[in-house]
Amino acid sequence: MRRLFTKNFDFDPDKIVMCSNCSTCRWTCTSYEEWGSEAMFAGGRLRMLRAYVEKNLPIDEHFVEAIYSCSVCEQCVERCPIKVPYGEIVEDLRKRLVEIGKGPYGKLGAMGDRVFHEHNPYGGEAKERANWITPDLKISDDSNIGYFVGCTASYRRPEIGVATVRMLNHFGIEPQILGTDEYCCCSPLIRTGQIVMPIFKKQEDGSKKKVGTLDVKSIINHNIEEFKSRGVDQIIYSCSGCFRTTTLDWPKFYREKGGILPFSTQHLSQFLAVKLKKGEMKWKNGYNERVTYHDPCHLGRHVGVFEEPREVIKSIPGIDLVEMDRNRYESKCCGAGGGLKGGFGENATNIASRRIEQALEVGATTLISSCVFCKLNFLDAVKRDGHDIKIVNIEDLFSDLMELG
Amino acid sequence: MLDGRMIRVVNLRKLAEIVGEDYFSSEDYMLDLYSADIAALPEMVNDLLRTKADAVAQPTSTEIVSRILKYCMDKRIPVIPRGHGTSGYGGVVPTRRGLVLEMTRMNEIHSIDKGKMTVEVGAGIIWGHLLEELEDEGLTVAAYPTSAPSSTVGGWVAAGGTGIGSTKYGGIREQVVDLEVVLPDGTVIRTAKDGKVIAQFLKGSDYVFNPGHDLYQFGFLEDERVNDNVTDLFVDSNGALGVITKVVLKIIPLRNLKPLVASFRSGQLMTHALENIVAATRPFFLHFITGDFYQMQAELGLAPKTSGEWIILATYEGTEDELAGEVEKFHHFVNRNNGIVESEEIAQHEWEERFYPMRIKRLGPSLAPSEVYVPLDNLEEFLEAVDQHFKNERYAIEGAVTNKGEVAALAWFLDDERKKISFLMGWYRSLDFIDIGLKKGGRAYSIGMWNAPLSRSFYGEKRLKTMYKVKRQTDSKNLMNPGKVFSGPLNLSFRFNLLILFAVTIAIPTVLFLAGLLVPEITNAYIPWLVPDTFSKLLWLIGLGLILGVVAIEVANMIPIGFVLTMGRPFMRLFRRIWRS
Repeated sequence: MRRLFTKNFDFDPDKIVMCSNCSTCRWTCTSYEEWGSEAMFAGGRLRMLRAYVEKNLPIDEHFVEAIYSCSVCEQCVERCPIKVPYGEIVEDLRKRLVEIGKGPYGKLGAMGDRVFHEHNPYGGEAKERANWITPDLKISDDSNIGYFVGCTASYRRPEIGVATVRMLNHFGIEPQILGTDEYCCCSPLIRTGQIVMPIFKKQEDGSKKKVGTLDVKSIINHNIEEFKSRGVDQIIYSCSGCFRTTTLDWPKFYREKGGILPFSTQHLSQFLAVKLKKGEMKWKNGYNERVTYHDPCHLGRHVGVFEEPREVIKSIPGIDLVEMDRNRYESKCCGAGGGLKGGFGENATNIASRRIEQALEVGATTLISSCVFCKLNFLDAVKRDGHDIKIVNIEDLFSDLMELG
Repeated sequence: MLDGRMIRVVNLRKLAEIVGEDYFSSEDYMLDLYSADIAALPEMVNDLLRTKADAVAQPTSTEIVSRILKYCMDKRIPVIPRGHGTSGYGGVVPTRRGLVLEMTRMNEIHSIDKGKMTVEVGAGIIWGHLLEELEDEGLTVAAYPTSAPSSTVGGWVAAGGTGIGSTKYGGIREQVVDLEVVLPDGTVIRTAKDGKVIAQFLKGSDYVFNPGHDLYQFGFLEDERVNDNVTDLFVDSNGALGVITKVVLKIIPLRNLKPLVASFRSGQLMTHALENIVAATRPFFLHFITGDFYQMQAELGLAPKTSGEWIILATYEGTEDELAGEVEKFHHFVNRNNGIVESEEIAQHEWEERFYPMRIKRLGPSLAPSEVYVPLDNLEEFLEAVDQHFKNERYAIEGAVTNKGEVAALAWFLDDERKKISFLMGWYRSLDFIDIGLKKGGRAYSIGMWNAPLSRSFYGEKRLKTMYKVKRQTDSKNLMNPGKVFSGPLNLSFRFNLLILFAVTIAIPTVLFLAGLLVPEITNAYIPWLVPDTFSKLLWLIGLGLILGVVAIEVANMIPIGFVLTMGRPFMRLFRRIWRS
């Protein structure tokens, strides 16, 4: 059948025909809710892909825009009766678009540039990566427990890194941190298809000169080898995106080199839940507010961590945890993931705003999450739309209630 | 016109202005998406027919719909209303290009009247959303489609049909209390009270409306009474008479539901049990799957561990006391037919799976569906006839009993759409399945475009005549969803028209030339002036071929779709066998 497909856009037709066009995925689709277009939900995108591939249509900006206007939250996969692996398909598709020079969308390519040059998608200088570390934090160079800080905590929300290390210190753990040797986990690059991409530099005469090739595999392997060489066999994460990528994506790239990950991964909410279970955690203060918990897609639907964060929150004295209508497997996306925040900033904020409204509907005065990226997006929505709600992550709450600040 | 757009650029601009730039598109990639429904049509059909719209608009208010229709009728632009396109009968497929009116932005719940027990909603609301919202109020609708997670209320009203709850409360026809409809000339009516507006289109005829007595088929008596309620006329009319913008539905209190599952060793035992259960109890939803369906589920690891492979799901609704009585009777009739009542877990699982029959698509990877109503009394015979007829095909059947003593029997034929010719030829199966149902006393499930030849038996002659009269008076140019309900011509694609032209132009001189070579005694005796033995004669014949080609295109574009499907079926059957083997 492949002969009927274009040479320069040879996408596996087996994947496309799996979808039955039933549109069950549309109901809860993050991007359909925002754009309301047939091209902006999983089933519609697959139909569009089919039309482009079968009719040999040239790949234009509409197609690229539609393919990138998805947060890869995988609510569609959850609802799909046939379980079409839509997340994998869309990431594959983005990879193909980058390979043929049609992707990534808009300014998302700048993330690849920045990771290539500075090892983070925000463009902060690589040598400043560890500047968030405050003098009171205890960090060791021989612990078998590591903390993967991630780019957002390192460059945008340093309080998350500080709170997490203080939390670990509270339990007597002095984690190893890669510092300036920590590179991006590559989540934003994998999600947006920038797996292998030529990097160009603009010359004075306006022309572009290739200065190298971004290769996600080498970045990931750098991180793995760094932890391995330092003897780390367990890594804690405060960022759900980094956690998901390490747990589900790194092994694929490392396996290509013939290995399996030399360490285990644990999200800090899981870490705290274990401490709670063992009776090693006692809250110093209570939190007398009605709160609700937002399941980050990367932590929840993708890896399956739903109950541990709730167990930790429920154990806080005085707290009143209520659930939003959409929770756990049906949780609504905050709109930040999959390159949506980078490519469609305003729309991502709209989506976050709607999620916050769901929290307000159940009377919550605090919205707790456990992903730095969700928090960043929610804070943008609060700032823009003036919602009367506090946005915190579990580690923030821990740090405050334990008086670690 | 071989393939001209129906909408000129200046008209596109005006339409965009009316509906708002953000809610309008005439870009190619969008048109592909909005010009199809759920059915995976063989790609070749798309090559043959001109099924692409010129533009798509998402109106946000009734007033905008009215302005659009006025403008389109004035400029002779076909209008194709659609919801989410989750039906597969071609009801939303454009046949003459034109403007697709996607109603999903009109998705509000306007009011819930707990006194009259009705809810008024925008036509574009998804059933699932409506159910959720009503549930918060302790209410629900009496019947909803199995496509509730994705289909719209207006879509089901326009397409018609039965679903979950229909065993007790009937199909969508019985749920609709009132509709807001925009007629082709832009007039907005409420169907429950504005019957006179419609009646004026029937002046001079013997017919007046009287829909109150027979809920199932719109009937009218030849007397002088004019009923104000014409709601029934618009339900399942596929948007051929106007655009539904608001729907008022009956609602019921949310009650306890008790799903029960029984399994049987044979189809005969199962159908007998179904008959007994319907006679002795009042299930909210009575559904079955055949042994083939069970086998396919088992292949995917989705089948529950049951004693038999023919499964009945009966869900009852009511107070604890009511339920207890029904459960007891269910057990009795299952036992009497040698069935086994399965565990509560299995029952709950099957009830939760009610929206997802398509899981078996994984075995396809494509599914070709077909659905027909069959009297429950003839179900056993029908299943046997289908079994005999499709010996060489792999398929599964499920069905749901309605409150009319019918079964909505739905067949899923496994196929692979990547094998293009074989998939195209397999189309005969859907048509044959319906035919077998009709022969067993059944009727079409829905009309749309593909079943338009069955309109007469589906609507009944009188109702169809009324619809036709209204259509003729309000839409004389046949611009409201053309080709639906009233069978339309083929409207071939540009490429296919060219092919006909080319074939006729080349074929005629070639045949005559070859005839001159092979049987000169005949050609010289009868048509010496037609044999292209000189260059000028050849040119003359090509000219003649061109003229005949244009005539052939016109003729081909006038052939009704139903005619093609009927005539082509034996060939499809034959070629399917050849291509599959």
